[in-house]
Amino acid sequence: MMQTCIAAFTSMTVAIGAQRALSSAAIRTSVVKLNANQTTHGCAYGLEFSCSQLQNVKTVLAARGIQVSNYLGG
Amino acid sequence: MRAIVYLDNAATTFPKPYSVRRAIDRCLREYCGNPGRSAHALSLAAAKAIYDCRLEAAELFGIASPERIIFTYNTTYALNMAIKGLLRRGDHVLISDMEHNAVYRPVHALAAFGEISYDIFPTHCLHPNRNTEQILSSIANLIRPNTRMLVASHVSNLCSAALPVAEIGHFCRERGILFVLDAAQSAGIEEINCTQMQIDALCAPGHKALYGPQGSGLLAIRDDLTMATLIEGGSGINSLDDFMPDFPPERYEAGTLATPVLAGLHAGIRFVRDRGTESIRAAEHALYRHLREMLGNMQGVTLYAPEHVGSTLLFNLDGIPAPEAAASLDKRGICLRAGFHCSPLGHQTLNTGENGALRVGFSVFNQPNDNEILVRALGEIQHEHNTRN
Repeated sequence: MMQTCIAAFTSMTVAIGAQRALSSAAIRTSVVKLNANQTTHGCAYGLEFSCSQLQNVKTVLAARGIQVSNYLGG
Repeated sequence: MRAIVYLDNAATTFPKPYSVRRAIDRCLREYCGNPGRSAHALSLAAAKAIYDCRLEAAELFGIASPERIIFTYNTTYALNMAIKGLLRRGDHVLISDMEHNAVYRPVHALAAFGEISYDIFPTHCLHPNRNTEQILSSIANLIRPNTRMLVASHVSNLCSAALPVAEIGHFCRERGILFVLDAAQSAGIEEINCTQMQIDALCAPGHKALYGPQGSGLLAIRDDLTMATLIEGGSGINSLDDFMPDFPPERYEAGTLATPVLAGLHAGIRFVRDRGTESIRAAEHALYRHLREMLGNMQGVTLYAPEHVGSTLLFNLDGIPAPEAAASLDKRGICLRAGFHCSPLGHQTLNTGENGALRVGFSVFNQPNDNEILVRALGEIQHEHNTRN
């Protein structure tokens, strides 16, 4: 079974922007609402993707200057 | 329904492009979930539609981060957010002598409560040889040590007089003064690049020359600028926190956004970008010149600052109060606006008199024939008036 990782973001807007950036790099992601144990402030969103892409995701988002709150899983 | 000649586009454009109507309809029929509140299909689709609108607006106005586009109901709301969110007690503000009440009233209200002070700088609209240096010099003369903000209309909502925005932006940035631009009459017509023009906060309507529906507007703020919030509430994120998030746009967009409206605005901005502001401007300026020439050839017509070519022309029929003339035009199926256009400062500057004036505002959907119908009707109204008196 594919292991999934999550990049958590400060907002839905940033999450969608990140998804667009990753999509243009051919990295497939899904927007997910984070569980309570994944966030300390309540409602938050992240992008779920295959952990095999973790390094690529980090590289693309860093290159675009998109801030990730934290990475979960992997 | 009889044929309407609509010349009140400075108030709101009508009609809207087909693509705008279709986008709103599609949103309402297919995906209008609550944006930014869930990760289910319809909520996400709505959030993505809003993101697309943010992106389109950011590209149009030269903003690098779409998160810096904050959606509002209109320009007035955006201006209030910028003015009240950025000013601090004791600040001094400069506004121009052509400002709409959307600028004048919030600034005056803050001053009346003793929070700030303000001065009005002359734009020299009626000066035949006015130039940028003259305007900047007038601004410089009013600067105080505590001057923190300059708020001004890019283009007057009365007479098409425009300010040299890039030069004012540079002037303000050099002096550490925040530059807030009211683009109510210029967004979608004039070139606006917030980064290049050093605009700290741009306030624009969605429902005028961006061809979106009413209820749409935006505030674009500089990257490193944080404002106090005007309203607080649900933002869809950080729900356990006592305060609003400290990052845009969610910090400033409490409550559910109007997804259908923003889907329409996105289509409207796309429409403008497809046509190109240069082409839109050229078409409206041609209509302006055409009407100015015809009105100039009529007896008993006073034009106000007609040398400022643009999309809006202000005039009066001598001896006929503007509201009376507008009512007579309405009976003939011609819609335009009479009175003071929420701009008492501007009317005072232009000396329009006790009844204000008549205002024609063009859009890309107007044709020279609209001008001809208007001028013919004005001639009839003058004739009727002269016969009665």
